[in-house]
Formats: sequence, structure tokens, C-alpha cells
Amino acid sequence: MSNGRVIVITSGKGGVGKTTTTANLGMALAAMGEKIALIDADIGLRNLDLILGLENRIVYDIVDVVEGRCKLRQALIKDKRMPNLVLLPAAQTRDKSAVNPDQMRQLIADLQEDGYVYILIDCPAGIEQGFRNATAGATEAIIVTNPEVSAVRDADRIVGLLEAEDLRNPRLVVNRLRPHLVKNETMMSVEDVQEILSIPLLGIVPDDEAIINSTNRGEPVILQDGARAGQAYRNIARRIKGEEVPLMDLEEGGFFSRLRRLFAGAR
Amino acid sequence: MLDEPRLESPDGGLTSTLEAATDESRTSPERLEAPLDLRNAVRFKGWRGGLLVTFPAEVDWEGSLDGLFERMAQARDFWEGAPCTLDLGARQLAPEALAALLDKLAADFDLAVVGVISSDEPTRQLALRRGIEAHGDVPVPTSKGTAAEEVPVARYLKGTVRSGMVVEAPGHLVVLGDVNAGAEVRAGGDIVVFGTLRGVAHAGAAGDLDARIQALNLRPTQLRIGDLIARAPDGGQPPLSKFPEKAVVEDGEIHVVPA
Repeated sequence: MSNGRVIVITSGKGGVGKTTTTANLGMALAAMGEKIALIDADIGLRNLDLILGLENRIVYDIVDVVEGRCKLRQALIKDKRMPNLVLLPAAQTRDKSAVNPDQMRQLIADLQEDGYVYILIDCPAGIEQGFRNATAGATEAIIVTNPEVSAVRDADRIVGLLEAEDLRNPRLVVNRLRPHLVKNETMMSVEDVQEILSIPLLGIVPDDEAIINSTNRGEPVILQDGARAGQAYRNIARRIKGEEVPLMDLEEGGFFSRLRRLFAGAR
Repeated sequence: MLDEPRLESPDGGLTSTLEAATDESRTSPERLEAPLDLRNAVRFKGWRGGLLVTFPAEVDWEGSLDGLFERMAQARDFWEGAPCTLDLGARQLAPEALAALLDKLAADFDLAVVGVISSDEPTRQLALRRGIEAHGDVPVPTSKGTAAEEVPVARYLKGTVRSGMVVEAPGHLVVLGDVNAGAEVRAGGDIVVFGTLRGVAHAGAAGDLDARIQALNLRPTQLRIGDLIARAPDGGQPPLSKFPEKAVVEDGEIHVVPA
């Protein structure tokens, strides 16, 4: 079959940043010229369209496609900024049982036939049917977690469930890291998280206030110049494509602001 | 080694980083509630990849049977399908008594009795007539014997046991990897973890207090050996040990000592 990549973005726990990660990685990969489709598998609690700022364009959704009320192409929403990115939105009025794993696999096959090389699936929280739907057609998985025990515990459960679904070698994104809290040992470090999960690290995204603003405006943070979280997501997108990108310097403010502080202190 | 701070536990000596669980903190196995005399009515031991049930000479036959069935009923899933050997000691059993026991074990607990140990010749003959191996004494493995049969079978598992997983083994269990918090490993015999044990481990699940739990890094949520429970101290784990540790039963309590 096609040699496209189908990547599910999952976490187990809610609120760790799956949807934000899906939106930003999708944008970043599209900015690199890839033809990409995002699937919001969180039926009943759709969010990905909000974060992408595409809510007002939704006419048909994933359930309409599955139930034959429209063609797949009619439901795909082309992004206003990135013409090679489309979103297949979730239905807001239904629930997870509206779609089954076989239908998901069929949707993915159809998208690949239409030439979408990267398909990212935004997985709902939990381990029930929504999770099974979202992972059904995926060939790779990215686990998003926060450096806190409950998120890591759930991520561990998810890694186990993915293994059972034969999705081996998931990769890890540690989101919302606050380096100064790690430094004074009030937050788990990336090393602590990795020691428990023992899966390869794909990237670290620092906690960044720019995300709050970008979420509310429907403008993914990678589109903002100078946002550190945006840079982190761009780096992760490059690693997904197979480039070797070193982890960025997460020290508060990065090199330049430290330099500035140094001078300010000298005055 | 003794100046290692974590070893200076309140009860002195090279003992636990784990507090013995108090009665109110005992949350699980129902089998803990069995009265003391019932516990001694029969003895269970992981043996040859299955189960060795010993009927002590000092307990009468009826008492032993009551104890046996009650404990089996409490842990039905655990026993199911296990090959089982009965050590009857010097008892002289009526043919009906032995037949009734074998039938009940097969019918109610799906337990296949594969061997009988008895110093009483007629009892051995009874067993042989039912197609069951009979020994005069607990057989000692011989060097030329079939090794796989004589050595307790261990389940060997490579990889991380993650939150939500339960791994069981009728004999010993060896994990080459971590057992994470939220996971549970259970074995009829010993548990050895070549990695960090953060979850719950239950060795000697059939009641064998000689079983042990050993790990390169022992940081469990809870340890159980036989029907004893020890839990991690409240308020966080002590610093990591520099050497592997094992949990064993001493004086009726689970103690953690350097392996």
C-alpha cells in the first residue's frame, strides 16, 4: 500500500496538550511542504478546529462521511494559511460510538489515496472506544505527557495498550516543562519521565504563555515568531521527518535573554 | 554498608524500607481474613511449575479438606488449571475418600492432580490405579532426570510491565525490565526483576512464605509474600539503594535486605 505516515497523537490523560500538539505539528509539517490531513477523532468534544481557527467553516464532519451523507472531500476543510493542510473535523453532536475502527481504517485509506502523505490523528483522552478508533489505522504513535506523576502513569498505561494493538515504538513528547521548577526539584525532569516510560524522546515543549493566546485566537503557536513553544514544535516536526535536530536550550529565556540579563545586571 | 541511612530503620538492623502493613491498611486479598488454624490446615507451595499441597499429620482429614476447599475457593482464578501434587504423609485413606477428593478438585476447581506422595503403600496403589504418579517421598531431582520436569518452571518476560498490566506465573517469574507503578506481578514462587520494581509484587501467591521478591531497584508500591503485605512508607520512597535488594519473610514479617 501507500508509504504515507499515519501518526496518532495520544496521552491517556486529558488536558496534557494532545490537540495543541496535533495542530502545531500539522502546521509545521505543512509549512515544510508536506501534504497533510488532520483527523479529529474526539467525536462529541471537538476542539482541533478551534485551535486551528477553522470552526466557522465546518459544514460536514467525520460522522457525515462515515454515514454517507457527504463525500470525504466535501468534509475536508482546507486551512486558510496552509493550503496543503486539511482538517477532517469531529462531530460535536454525536459520541465515540458513531464511528468504528474499520470505518477509521477506510477513511485513512481514502485520504492516502487522495495523496495525503502525513495523516495526524488527534486521539481523545481515555482508553475506551475513542482511543480504539483513533489508533485503529495508525502506524506510528506520539505520546504526549506532562512532567507530573498522573500524566506519566496514564502515558505508561497507553504505551502498554499500544503494544497490545501492535503499535510498537511510540515516541514521547514532554509538554509544559518548566525548567526553573525542574531545577529546584519541584517538577519531574525529562529524565525522570523517560526513566519510567523508557521510550524514545521526540521532543520537549516548554510551558509557554504564548500558547494560551494562540489557542484563544485559533492561531497555532508555530505561526508566531519568537514563541519558544513554536520553535519546539518546529523542531519536533523536523525530527518526525527524520532530521537530527538537537534539543533546544530550555533555560529560562534562552541564550539571548540570559545575555541581556547579564548586561542589565552589570549596569 | 550499615551507615547507609536507609537501612537504619526504626526496628533496627538490616531491615525494611517498607512498613509492615497494619490491619486497617490491608486493602486486598480476602484470603488474609482466613482464621489462623485454617491457614495451617493445609500448606501450599509452588512446585514443579504447579502446586504442592501438603496435608500435615497433626490435622485431621476433615479439617484439612475444609481448609483446602476454603482457600481454593478464595483464589479460584489463581489455581485454575494448575498441575497439582498432593502430599498425604502417612495417612491411610479409604479408596472412596481419595476418589472423592480428586473428583471434587477436578470438578470444582479445574485442578489436575498429577502426583500423590504417600508413605502408605495402599494409598499409592490407589493413586496409580487412577493414573496418577505416586511417590513414597518428595522426589529429589536426579542429575539424569528430565531437567524441565524436575526444576520449578519459571516464566521469563522481556520488556516493561506497564501500568494496568497483570502478569501471573504459577512457578517463578523473571522480568527482564521494569515493573511500573500501577502494574501487578504475581507468582506461585519467587519474583525476580532485572530492573526497577515500582508496582505491586506478590510472590508465593499460593501461600508459600519461603518465596522472595528480588529486584535491582526495589521501590514497590506494595509487596506481598504469601498472605503477608508490606507497603511503601508514606511520604515518598527513601533514596535509591546502591545494590540490589530482596524481600523475604522473617519472623512473620516482610523484610527488605540487600540481595
